[in-house]
Amino acid sequence: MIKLNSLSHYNLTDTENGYAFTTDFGNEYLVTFSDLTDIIGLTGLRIYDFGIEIAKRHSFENDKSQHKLKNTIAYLLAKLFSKQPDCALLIVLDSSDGKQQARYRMFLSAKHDSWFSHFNNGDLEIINLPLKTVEIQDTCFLLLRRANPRLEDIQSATAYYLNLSFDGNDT
Amino acid sequence: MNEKIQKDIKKLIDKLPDVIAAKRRMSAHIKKHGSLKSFNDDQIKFAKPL
Repeated sequence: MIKLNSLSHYNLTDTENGYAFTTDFGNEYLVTFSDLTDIIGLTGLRIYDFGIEIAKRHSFENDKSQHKLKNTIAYLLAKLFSKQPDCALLIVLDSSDGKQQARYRMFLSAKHDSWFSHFNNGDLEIINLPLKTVEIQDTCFLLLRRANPRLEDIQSATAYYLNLSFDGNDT
Repeated sequence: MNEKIQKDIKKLIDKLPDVIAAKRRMSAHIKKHGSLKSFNDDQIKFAKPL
């Protein structure tokens, strides 16, 4: 990620369940991290499910057009990985409105001018996760540091289950 | 392949539909109430790692 002091970002405030910030357009966002380590019963990995939601919209101006929103995401990711360098983030691109591919191009795609392409200086890696249901079309990724000591193990394991899902075998 | 990590990844992949469903419940709550006040879900454990 780029250096924190080079970013112009919104200030995060603590809330009971996570963090919040308000954009220059007056829109209020909530940032959440759900600790999947306990929920799923993981024994070797610490994974947080990352969420960002608009809680109160006071303007219909597009916050995504402002660099400060992108910088805020980059800032909080940089802060997270500096505090917990060996954790991984689960990123879920919602499909309930059919716009998951547009979200992928905007946020994560290496082939497009995505936020990830813009801010990642090679420190971070994204790993595609297979979804074992046809009822939900969400796209799921793990985001973690390339220096994570478990990176190769995680890549091997996800590749293994990705191949199984393509084979139609989920055992 | 590290067996512990492989088991963790399998658990994660198996649980993804539940995680997504819980996330949608949270999103619906925020849209309706404008906050997470009074939101409780046994598939979500909020953390503040920053």
